[in-house]
Formats: sequence, C-alpha cells, structure tokens
Amino acid sequence: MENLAFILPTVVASGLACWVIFQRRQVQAGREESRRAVQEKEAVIALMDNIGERMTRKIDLDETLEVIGQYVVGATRAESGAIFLLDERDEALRARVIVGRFPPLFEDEEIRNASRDYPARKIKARRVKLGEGIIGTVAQLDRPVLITDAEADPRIPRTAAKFFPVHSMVFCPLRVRGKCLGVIAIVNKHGDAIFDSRDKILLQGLADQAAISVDLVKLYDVLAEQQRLDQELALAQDFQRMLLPHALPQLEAYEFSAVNKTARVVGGDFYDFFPVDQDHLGIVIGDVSGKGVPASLIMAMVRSILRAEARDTFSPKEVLRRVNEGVKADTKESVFVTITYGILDVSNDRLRFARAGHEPVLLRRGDPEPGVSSYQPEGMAVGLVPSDIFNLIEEMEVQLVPGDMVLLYTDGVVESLNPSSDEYGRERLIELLGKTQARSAEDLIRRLEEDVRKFAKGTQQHDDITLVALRMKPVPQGTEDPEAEEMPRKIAQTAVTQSV
Amino acid sequence: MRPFEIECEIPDTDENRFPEVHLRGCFDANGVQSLESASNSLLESGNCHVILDLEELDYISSAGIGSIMALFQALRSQNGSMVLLRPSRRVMDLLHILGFSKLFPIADTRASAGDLLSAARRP
Repeated sequence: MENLAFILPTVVASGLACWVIFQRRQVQAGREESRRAVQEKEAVIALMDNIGERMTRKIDLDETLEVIGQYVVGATRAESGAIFLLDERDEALRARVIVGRFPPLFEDEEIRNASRDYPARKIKARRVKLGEGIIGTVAQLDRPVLITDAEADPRIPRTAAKFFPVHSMVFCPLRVRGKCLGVIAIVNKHGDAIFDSRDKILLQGLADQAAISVDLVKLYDVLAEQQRLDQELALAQDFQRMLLPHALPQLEAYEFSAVNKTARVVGGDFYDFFPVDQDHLGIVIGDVSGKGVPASLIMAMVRSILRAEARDTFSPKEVLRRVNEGVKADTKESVFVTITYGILDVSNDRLRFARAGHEPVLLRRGDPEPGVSSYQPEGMAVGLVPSDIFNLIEEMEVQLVPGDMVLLYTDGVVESLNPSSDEYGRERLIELLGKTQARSAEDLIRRLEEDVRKFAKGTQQHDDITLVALRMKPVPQGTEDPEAEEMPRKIAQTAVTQSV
Repeated sequence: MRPFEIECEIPDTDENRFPEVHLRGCFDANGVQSLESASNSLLESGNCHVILDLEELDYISSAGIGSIMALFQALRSQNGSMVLLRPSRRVMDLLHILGFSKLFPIADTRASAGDLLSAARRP
C-alpha cells in the first residue's frame, strides 16, 4: 500500500504530463490559437500539480474533491461551483463539494417557502437520480451543457435564482474509462461576463483530468479497505497463535507434540495443555464450527472457560458440562464446538477423557502387542443443546504403559482431499498409526503430516488440520538416559503454566 | 460432488402426511440460507413436525450441521419434532461422531418416519 501511495501521484502526474505534452505539441504544430488557450492548458497543469501535491501527503476522496472544486472555480473565473458524484449502489448523484453559494437545482415546497437562504448542507443531502434535472441529465447523457441565460432556460428551475442571481452555468460530466463518475458545475462568471463555449471546453478539460484522479482515489479507497481487512485478519491470526501453547509439557515419562495448520488466515481449530494440579495434566483439542475471525473468537472463549473450569476438577465430562453451559449461554444455536478433553494422571499413568462430538481418541499400544484402539465415548458437541441433553456425556479411562501413543486430531485431517476429491479418511489414519515406526511423539506427528501432504498432492484444503500426540516413553534398556533424570515428574514444575 | 439442492414439500391440510424437506448434494455454508427459508415456510404454515430426507445428501459441513440444529431448535420451540430419513453412511458417521444420532430419531423408511412423528405429536 505504501507503494501505491507513491505510485498513485506518479501515475496521475504522468497522465497529466502526457496530456500536457500532447497539448503543447498541438500548440507547436502551428495550431496555436490564442493566449486564452494557453491559459486553459496552464490551468489544467496547475490543477494536476495541486492534486498531485496533495496526494503525496494524503489520499482522501473528499480532500481531493475539495482541491479540484476550489481550483476549478478559480481557474474558470466562476463565482461558485459544485462536484456531484454518482453512487453506483443507488444510481443517484450527491453533491460532495460546494464552493461558494450554489443554487438548488430542484424545486420543492421547502425551497418555495424558504425566504433567506438555502444552505449547502441541504443541497448535499439531496439525492439526484440519474436523468433527474440538469445534473442527472448531464450524468446520464454524458455530455457537457452550457447555460447562457439561466433565468430564461427551461432546464433551470425558477426557484434556482430565488436566493441569489444566477446568470450562466456550465455542467460537465466527470468521465473516465467509458463511465461517468459524476458532474462538475460552475455558476456565474466573475464581473458581468457570461460563460461561453470556450469556458465549456476549459471546464471539460479540467473535468477529464479531475475524473482520472477521482477514479484513482476511489480505487485506492477500495484497496485501502482490503488492506484494513487483511490487517484485521493478521491481528486475529496473531491473537490465535497467542492462545495456542507456546511450549509443550516437559515430563520425565512422557513426550508431547502438536501441530496446527489453518486453512484460512484464521481457523477454528485449537489445542491446549495446562496443569490441573501437580499430578494432573489437562490436554485439549477442539474445532469450532465455521472459520475465520468469528470462529477464532469463540475458540478464545472456549479456551478461557475450559481453563477456568478445569482447575482442581478431575472429571473431564464435568468440565465439558460446565463449558457447554458457558458456551450455550453466549453463542447462537447454530454455532458449536467439538472438543476432546483428557486428564493425564502422571502418578498412575491413567488417561481419563470425555468427547463432546469430537473425532475419536486413538491409542496405539507399544510392543509387544502393537495395535490401534479407537475410543468414542458418547457426547454431543458443545453449544448445541441445553444441559439436560448435553449432560448425558460419558467419559472413559485408559491405563497407559510405556511405549503407548495417544493421538488426538480434528476432522480436517481425515477430510483432507486429494485432486480426485477423495478423503484421506479415518481408516488410513488408523492404518498408518498402527504400522508406524515413529520413534517419538514428534516423529509421529511429522510422519502423519507428511502422509496427509503426500495424499493431498497440493490440493487446497478447506479445513484446519490439528494433530496432538502424547507418548509414554519406553523404559530405557540397560543404561539410564541421563537427560531423563533432569525432567520433572510433577506437572506444576513444567513449562505449561500460562495463565488465561 | 453434486451441488446443493433443497426441496420443501408442505402437504395440504387435508392430506394425511407430514411435510418433508429433501436435502441433496453438498450441504455447506452456501445452503444455510435456503434451509433457513424452508424452516420459516414450515413454521409460518403451522408445520412443526418434519421429515428431513437425507438420502441424497452426499456431504454436510459444520455450517450445514449448525443450520439443521437451528431448524431442530425452531421446531422444538413450537413443540415440534424432526425425524432424519435414510442418511448415507458417511453422513450417519458424522451425525454419530457429533452425538446427533442420540438427539434425532433416524428412520429407514418414510412410513416409520411418519410413525415416529405421529408418536411425538401425541400429547
């Protein structure tokens, strides 16, 4: 966007320069007309200088129009003027800038009854439909109009001269790239002079150049809005990253690994680790329905409620019941969150978990009898149903032994698509988990990610992908691992102690 | 995958059958508005016991699930009920994972869906 701020005035200035050179060549080619013609061209050049200079400081539509309006009134020696812009949404024109006193070019009761003045703000508030009155007609027909005797001309309402004398006027369309952006109008030439056809040509020359600037500034506004949205998304992305754990738990008997890939800039998947007490570690994986910023905000809410409710509570289903109450109270019925919440008791190596509509928990047993078990205790997604139904949620407990690996994942993993639109599928995930030779939790996640990537063959994915693995370390054979002795046994000593 | 289609059949009052909403193809966020409109038509015509025909539904996203839930809540608020008719294995699997299979009755035939709604309609 900074580039654009630089490019825009440059483009305007270049356009002007070409125009000026063209005009000058015409002059040099022996078609020099009069001193007035030179003045006209100088007026255009000066206008572009004015706009270009202003644009290098700030690019703003109203300010650009103000510069154009002020300059045009001065350069045409008019007493006053106005710029009307066409709003494509309702096909109506509105006065965006009024310089000096501008007559109301419409008739209504209010004008007929007004005795002293008709303020500019009322003219600005008025919508002029395409084809309506002189302004709407100039915009519709895309042709300039010169009025030399306003009092007698039927195109000018009689009430126009009610507040001050109106003698002559010129109206020119602001046209660019084959479309009309609006109308520029000037009123009464200074002194007792009357606008003539030369004034009309001058005004159209100025209007043509002004239209290029207005078009560019409007384009810039669209891009600036897009940039603002991009910035919002980037902020939300930072916010979401902040909510994911910065560090994995460090425990003597366990390894942990996790990955979160968002399909859009901001997604609805999340995972979390936190201490419940010194012997219990909370492990969460979740998926908010929907994507983008709203999903990430709900994710933040769920994470906060879950962390707050988890403290000193050792039943995952009880915690999820409370989360459902909190989320249900604050979200629309069509928004829901699937969550698996597990509590690992490091004093006895038991993992207790409940599942609120989330994908099953997969447990891969280590040697000597490797195999994968899929656990799917009953439970509905959070945020959909009132407590009386949600509270039917069940929980399970598994006893872990050294070498066991537990995998939690979101549906984005099993719903990953390949170029033929086939899904990766739960079966493939389970099969891979069953035969993997992964040497650590981190290695397992890396291999799974790699397999999904190979399957997808570059197909763009529509859902986030999140994987969380824990592995109970195998008992060391022979000599003890010196590093293991430095690892804490208790949860409270681990790095996972971020507060909400 | 087929694009999403929805058809809402509201029988005349003298017909002795329940209204049916047929969902077909891929139901994602793009179909949400259509189901909302169907839901409004049903409630405005005083129909609050509905068969949701999922036989030709190939895929449903979380947004689609959310809007089915919204329909269910809207019917329930009028003391109504909803039966899912013949979801595909894939859709059934998703409903099962999400815990919806416990929430909505699921029928294999139109007749049994009608029986379930008739039972729900009795005071």
